[in-house]
Amino acid sequence: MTTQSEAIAADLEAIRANYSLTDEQSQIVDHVDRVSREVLHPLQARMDDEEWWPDDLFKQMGELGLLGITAPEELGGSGQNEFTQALVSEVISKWNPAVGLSHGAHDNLCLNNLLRNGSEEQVKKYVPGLCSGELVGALGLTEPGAGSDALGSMATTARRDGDDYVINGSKIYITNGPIADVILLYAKTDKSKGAKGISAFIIETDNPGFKVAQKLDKMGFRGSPTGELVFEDCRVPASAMVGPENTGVSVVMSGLDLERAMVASVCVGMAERALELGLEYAKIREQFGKPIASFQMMQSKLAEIYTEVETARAFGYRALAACTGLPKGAGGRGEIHKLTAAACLYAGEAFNKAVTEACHIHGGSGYMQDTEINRLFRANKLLEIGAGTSEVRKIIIAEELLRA
Amino acid sequence: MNKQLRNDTALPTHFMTDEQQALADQAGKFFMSEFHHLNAEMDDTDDLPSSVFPKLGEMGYLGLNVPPEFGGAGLDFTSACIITEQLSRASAAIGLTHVAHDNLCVNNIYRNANDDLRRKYLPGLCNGTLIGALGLTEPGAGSDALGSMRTTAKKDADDYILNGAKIRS
Repeated sequence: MTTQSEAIAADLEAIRANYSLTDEQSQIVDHVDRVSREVLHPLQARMDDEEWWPDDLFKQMGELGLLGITAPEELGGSGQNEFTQALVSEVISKWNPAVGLSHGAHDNLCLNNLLRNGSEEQVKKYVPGLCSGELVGALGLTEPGAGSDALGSMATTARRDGDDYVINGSKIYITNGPIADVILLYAKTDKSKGAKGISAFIIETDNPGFKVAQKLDKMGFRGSPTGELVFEDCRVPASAMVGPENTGVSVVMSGLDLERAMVASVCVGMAERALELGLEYAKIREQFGKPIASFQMMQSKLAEIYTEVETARAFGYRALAACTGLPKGAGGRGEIHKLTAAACLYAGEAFNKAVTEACHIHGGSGYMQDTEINRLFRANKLLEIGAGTSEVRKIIIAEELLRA
Repeated sequence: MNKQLRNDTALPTHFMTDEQQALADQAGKFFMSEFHHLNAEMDDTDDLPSSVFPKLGEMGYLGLNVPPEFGGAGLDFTSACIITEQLSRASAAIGLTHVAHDNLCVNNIYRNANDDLRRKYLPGLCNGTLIGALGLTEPGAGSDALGSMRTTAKKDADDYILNGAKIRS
């Protein structure tokens, strides 16, 4: 007789075979699955209770080979494509959503963006440390007054002063902000040009003009440190600029496309975990003299959750496949823009449905904060807000449809 | 508008009487000024400030359906619901606690207990010196609360001996 986890492992193997993952990808997924289950899953309770991030966790992730998935091997990375990076995100998020979130901000938003857009010097300077976990990365885009209108309302400025830029402004809801060593930051270098006056910078957080105004207390993904960051006459050399001046918008927009494809994978991993937990509970919980899994109304929920998980996965993988090999500077418009926004929109809402039903299967116990299903439930809302709200994702899709 | 309902004065309509509307306005104002500001702290600490029950008792918002002879407000059931609605609007958490006390415990005692028990418990429950709860759900008895109930009360001469556990009460 096979155990529950053996059955699930067999299922996952079949799924991977269906998507023709390469042997290398399968090995990576197996490795990440094992270490995430053994090392990251047990951290959930304390991270959630205390908004606690374990001090050495990035270094530990570096040692376990979880960082720099898309970085070249000679710089300490794994030399994989973004599809594989998303698979890694999916599996980490399944076993510890908060670590998955911090990992994504570090590995995709900061490191991968830097790889795609940074100069050779910048890449050499920061990427090895980001791959080993010696350095922790973050990305600074959202501001107190600039959310859905991130580009238009951006108020942070970078003023040229001799060989330096002087940055002033604040950023909010920045994942890894309170613990970051380097931040890929967007600021306006020419206010008169609107979105076309934005530039990207790489900021070292030991700069005296940088401070963490506050660490924020979240509903879900607790433990992944989120902060409000303030820049006060923060002076950086011109060499800290990523890409040419006033071309930040293409970095933002192409980065956001990849981010949305990653977020879809995060949703898939978490929805898959919600299914496992719902299934497990339905089989062991007995009422009216039998396991509640024997009741058709519970079976209906399980069937619907499974369908959401696999639909989100199929669509998410399709978007990721389209992202693979996306040329530098591409994205932020056209088919890829539409497809990644749609995959992200679908996955966020699919996870909402899946986790709502899986939590409901748990009855009263699912309402208790210290259950894993409750943590997943509380984490959901971010996935329909971050990386563009569901509404912004719809705007992108509709604009691309109507442009043709 | 349903003619039959309007013409049959024995049947309640979903419209509030003038008294009920006045009750709702007064209660709503009081709950917003006294309780709404407690929400943040209650959410942070997962605790009920000790001032809440005495304040509810003092203003006559406990024992809503209990006659004045037992210390209650002597209101009709619809009026009790109107007050619950206003309280939950100001503070969902206090609303939940109030309904567990006032409906699940107090009103059940009033409807089902003998006079000795009523006289013993209702005055305290109505002035807020006693806090009530109801224990039904058990770790193994949720949707099947009655069929799966394991808590027992064994008769022993003039006493009963209780054994078991209740959860999420």
